[in-house]
This record gives sequence, structure tokens and C-alpha cells, in this order.
Amino acid sequence: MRSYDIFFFSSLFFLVGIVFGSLGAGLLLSFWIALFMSASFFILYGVSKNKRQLWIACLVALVFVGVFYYRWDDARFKSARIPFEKQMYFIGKIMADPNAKDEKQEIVVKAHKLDDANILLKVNPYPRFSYGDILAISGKIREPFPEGYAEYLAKERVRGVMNSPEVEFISKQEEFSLKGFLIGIKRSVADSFYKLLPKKEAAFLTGITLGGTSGFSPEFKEAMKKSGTTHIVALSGYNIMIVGWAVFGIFSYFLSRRISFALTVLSIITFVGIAGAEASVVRAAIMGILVLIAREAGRTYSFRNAVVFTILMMAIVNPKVIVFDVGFQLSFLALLGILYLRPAIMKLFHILEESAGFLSWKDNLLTTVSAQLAVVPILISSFGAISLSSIVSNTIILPLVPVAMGVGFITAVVYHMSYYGALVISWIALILLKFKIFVIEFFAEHSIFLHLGISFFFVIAYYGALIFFILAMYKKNKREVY
Amino acid sequence: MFDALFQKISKHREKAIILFGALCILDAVIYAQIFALGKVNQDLAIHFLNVGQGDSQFVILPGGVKVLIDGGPANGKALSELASILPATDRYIDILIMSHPQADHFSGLIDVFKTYKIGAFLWSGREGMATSFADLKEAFKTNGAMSVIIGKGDRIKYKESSVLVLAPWKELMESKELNDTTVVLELMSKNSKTLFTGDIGANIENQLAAWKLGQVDILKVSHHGSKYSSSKLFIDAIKPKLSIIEVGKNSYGHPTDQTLSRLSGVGSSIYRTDNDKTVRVIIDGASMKVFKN
Repeated sequence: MRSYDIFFFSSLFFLVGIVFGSLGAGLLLSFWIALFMSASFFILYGVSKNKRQLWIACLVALVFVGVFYYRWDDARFKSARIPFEKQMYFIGKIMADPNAKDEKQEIVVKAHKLDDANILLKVNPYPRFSYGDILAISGKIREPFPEGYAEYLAKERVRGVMNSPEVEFISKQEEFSLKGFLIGIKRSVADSFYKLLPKKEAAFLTGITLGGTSGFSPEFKEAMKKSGTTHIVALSGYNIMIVGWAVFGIFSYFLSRRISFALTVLSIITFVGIAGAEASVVRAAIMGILVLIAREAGRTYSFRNAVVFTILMMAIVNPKVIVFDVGFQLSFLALLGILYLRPAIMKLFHILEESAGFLSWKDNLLTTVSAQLAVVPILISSFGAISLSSIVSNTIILPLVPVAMGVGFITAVVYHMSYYGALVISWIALILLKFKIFVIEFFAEHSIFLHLGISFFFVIAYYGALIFFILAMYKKNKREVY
Repeated sequence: MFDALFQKISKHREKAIILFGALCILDAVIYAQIFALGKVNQDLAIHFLNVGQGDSQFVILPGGVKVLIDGGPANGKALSELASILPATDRYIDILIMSHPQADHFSGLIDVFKTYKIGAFLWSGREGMATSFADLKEAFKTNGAMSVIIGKGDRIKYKESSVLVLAPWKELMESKELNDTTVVLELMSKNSKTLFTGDIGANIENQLAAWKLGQVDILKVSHHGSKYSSSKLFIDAIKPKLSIIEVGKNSYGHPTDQTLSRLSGVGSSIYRTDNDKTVRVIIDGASMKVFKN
């Protein structure tokens, strides 16, 4: 085996171990199974002297390493001793930008007294707290419930939840922190939207540009769910890809491809800063950049290791990401879609790379469609029921997402120079947003629900069909060439 | 020369189309704004906003001056309601009035300060004890609105409309009870009289009754329909044609049966924001129309 294959397959098997671990595979059981399989292949090797079997023996052992790593990380996370359901008094520091909703704000604090565990507080919207604030908190800590919510919080490294605890402000963070500075920028961007647009549109634009659903009315959230468009306000690599690639399109219109590419990556990094540099956004950005590179490079084989390396790094930092982070899955599948499905579709319709069309619409459409096809089951299962109309609503809305983001950021920048200048630009944003909201609400009302249910079987069948299609196109191509 | 120019343009046809399209859209938007400016409503419109358990009234005077009295509790509802009343591009409110510094009246104003340009902020000068009052002061400071302290006898005049401040006076300002410091307003416009009473109790109402205010067309019922307000003496003195109770889900039993029966006793039509949602009253000088959402 060549060295890059060794790297690829070892990482892959390790990741498989992490997936098993996330799905609840026991340590002891997986140890014995891995040992048994490893030993079997080793014996096979002894008999046949086929080197491949020796490799397999080693790789299977790596699955166990993956399971072990996941378990170890989980145990470390749960090692903090927290007296649940007891009246507690402790000092905590706010570790992330508080999530301000209409009727409450959600704050994550790190408590030194509780072995540095992260606790989520749900408190009144005012007084409003900021990143870095030190608070005195008293109340009862609860274990998150139900299981899905607990898993979600565990992924965010949050251990317990407190509903309306008594909170007293002690002090602000004195020293300068980059994160605090970036959060300041993020807030000022959101504030400028709220200054210029009506509440609904402002909240929506904030969601599109910076992620999150704060300020959304329950009805609108429901409408987004029904129309299958919630994912546009969940910052994922998929979103960053859409945006990055629009930015790239604009730059490459005026500049050379190489310079445009560098500028695009730079814009994504700036964007990550503005969006608060939270772990999930950083992951999204890395995936987004990878997708861009994938599309630029267009060579799938040289790319395989880069993808697996990135995922490996993410899994080592936080192994819960692989199974419990929908954003990650979206990014990953979109990436695969562009890498493998896009060339297949191009072959199917005999589209050549050069025939771009006005504003290279063919190119854009192709990429959107291939990414979209690859993520559909995840979109549907994670963000609401399966609705046939979601495909239509997404096709209309997705191309407008980068436009709205662009106008949004321009508005925010101009706002700090001239209120009235920004006001005029915001009218363009207003038209876009009103149109999108109209589309979302229209398709929410006219959603045609498919009651297949998004079963495990459906997902398997769907991806099976996609893989079959890709392979078929690949083979056809071979025949044509030779 | 034109030929050369034309040739140049046709070389960059794609860019030219985009630029032209963008300009057209911007033009259309700006013209729409100019036309909207020409259309000023000459009626008086009073909105009793559905903000849950709290108070918020939004008045548009004939001629278009906008006045917001209180902002309800911190739940984002005042903003949503304002957004549904005002045109999407209108980001300005002329006057914000805080009746008194209790959270169910002022917390919603924090968001209003953060999101609208405000001409002037009118209040009694009494500061609140609630922890969120600091957030209000901060938001007010950032907003840059003018602060005006008002008390009994002050008057706001705009064209044919006038708003007279009936309370508080000095002795009330010194009261320990925050409700006593409420700014009480009498709006006279389009041959109609409206009373905004905030959270005043019977003690103040009875003094107002003694002033012979005459019949009132619309009453913002005091203190969400509490039984300690809307005294029989007061209600009998002003005989409101229309009574609006701003109330939401609460544990105080608001609005109380006592208050409801005192109001219906003088033949008043009662509307409440928990059942009727936002109540809008339009007065054109000859008639009064009530709309429920």
C-alpha cells in the first residue's frame, strides 16, 4: 500500500470507530470484536502471506482505537461532579456570545467550582449580559432532557441546564480578548440590521448572515420548517460554500482565478471572525473552503486525503461532531456531492466545463443541484418533515442567500459611515427579504407532505441510488474514452 | 465618438446589464419612497398594542406625528406590532413616553430605542429599581434621543391635536409607590378625548375625578384592570364610551370582575388585548371606528 493510501484508510477506520462509539458501541464488546477480527485476518495472513490481509488486521484494530477515543472523551466530559437538582451557589464566566431571544436569553457559563463544567442558563432578556462577564448564580442545575437535547448540548460541551436561576452581575472582563472583540463586531452588525429594517426582516437577515433564529416568531420558525428552508439560518459549511462561491464568482469576474480564490478564502476567514468564531462556525468555514478548493481543483483523487485529514482533526478536537452535528453532516455531504455527483451530472447532460453562460449560471445551477441532491435526506430529517415543495422553495431561495448576505454586509459597513446611506441600501435588502419571506410562507402553506417517513431504509436506498448513478456515469465515460 | 463608446459598452455587455438592472431597482425603490411621503393620513389612529401582560399604546396624530406610550414587557412584541403598523421603511418615531419605570411598561422600550430613531423621550424623571432599567438608560444614551422631563400642566401641541399632562405632580413624585408616579395623559384630537392612565390607583383617579374632566371617549383602563384602580367615582365621572384593557396572561386576576362591572355599569364598550389582540381605533372627527386583530 502506498503511504497516502495508508493515511487515508487508517483515518477512515479510526473515524468509523468514532461513529460506532457515538452510536453507543460498548468498549469491551468492541475490543473483543476488533481483537477477534484482527486476529482472524492476521492468521489469514500467516496462511496466505497476502500482505493485504495484514493491513486489514491493523486497520480493524484502529476501529477499536476510534471507539476508545470517543469513550475516553465522553468520560472526561462527564467527569465533572455536578450536584444535580440541589440548590447551588457558584460563580461563572460567560464563555460565548449569549443567545438573545425574544422572551429569554441563553447564556453558557463555565463554573470553576463545578470542575470547569459548562452550564446553560436561561434567564430574562434584560439585563443583557455579554461574553466575558462574571456572574454569581444561584439555583438548581438540571440534567438536560430529553436525550436528543442532551446529545446536542453534549456536543456543545454543555453539562447542565438552569431555568431562571438568580443571576447577579459581578464584573466585566477587563483584559482585551480577540473573541470579545469579534463578538462586538457581530453584535454591531446585527444591531445595524435592527436599526434599518422591521423586526421580522431584521431577524431573518441576522439569521442568514450570522446564523441563529433569535428574534424569529414561532409562526415564522414553523413556516421555515414546513417549507424545508430552516438550514439557511444554520451556519454550516454548506452555507459558507454557497456564499464563498458567490463571492468567488464576483471576484473572478474582474480578477484572475488565483487572486479571486485567495480573496475568497480571505473573505471567509473575515466572515468567521464576524460570525463570532464559535467552534461550529470555524468547522463550517474549514469545510466551506475545502469545498471551494474541491471545485477549483476538480481532481477528486488528489483531494481525498485533504478531506479525510480535516475530518480527522475535527473528530480529534470534538469527536461528538461526526454523528451529532447536523451542520457537519450537511457540509460533508455537500462536499461529496460536488466532488463526485457534479462530474456525473455533467456527463449525463454532456455539459462541458467551458460553457458557463450568463453569469456562469449553468455552473452555479450544476453545483447547487449536485450539493442539494447530496444533502436532501439530512435536510429533511433534521429540519422538519419531508415536503415535496421544499425542493422548489430551496431552488428559489438558495441562489438569493449570498445576494442577501452581500447586501446585508454592505449595509452594515455603510451604516457605520452614514445612517441614511445605509437606509437606502437596506431597501434593496428589504425587497429581497420580503420576497424570500413570501416564498417561505407560501411554500409553508402549500407544502405537499410526503408521508413516506424518512426511514433509515429510505436514506440507504437514496444514497444507494446516487452511488449507483455516479458509478454508472463513471463507467460510461470509461467506455467512451477507450 | 458614440460608435467607439458603443463598442466599448458592447464589449462589457454583461456588466452593463447588471449595472443597469441594479440602478433600475434602486430608482424604483426611491420613487416608491417619494410617493409614500406624499400620502399623509389626516385621521387620528390609536393602537392599543397586544404586548402580553403590560402596557403599550401607539398613537398617530392627524398629520402623521407618531407617539409611543410605553413598550410593554421584554418579549419583542412591541417591535413586532410596530412593524405591522408602520410601513417597512419607516424607522422613525417622533415621541416616546414612559408612563412609569416598571418593567411591564418600559422593558419593551429598550428594543424600541435600539431599533428606531427617536425624536424625544418624555418621562417623569423618576428612575426605576428593576435591574433592566440600566439597560434602558444605556439604550437611550446610544440612541441619542432628547430627554424631556414632564409633569402636571405640561402640554404637547401639534397642529389641531394637543396632549395635556394631568399627573404626576410634586407630591406624587415623592411617593414610594412607583404606580403613583405614572404620567397621565389627556389627548384631545379630532373632536375626541382619550385618557391614558398607566397604572394609577384609585387615590389619584379620585383627585382627577374632582377636576371635572368631562366625558371621555376612550379610556386606557388603569393597571390592566386591577380592582384597586378604575374606582366607581372616577368611572362615573368620566363615563368612557370605549374602555380598553391592556392585559395578558397573569397571576393577579387582571382584569378583575369588579373593574369590568364598574365599566359596563356606565355603558362602556370594553375591549381587552388578551382576547381582541391589538385594538385599533380610527377617529376622523365625526365617527370612531374600532378594529380588532
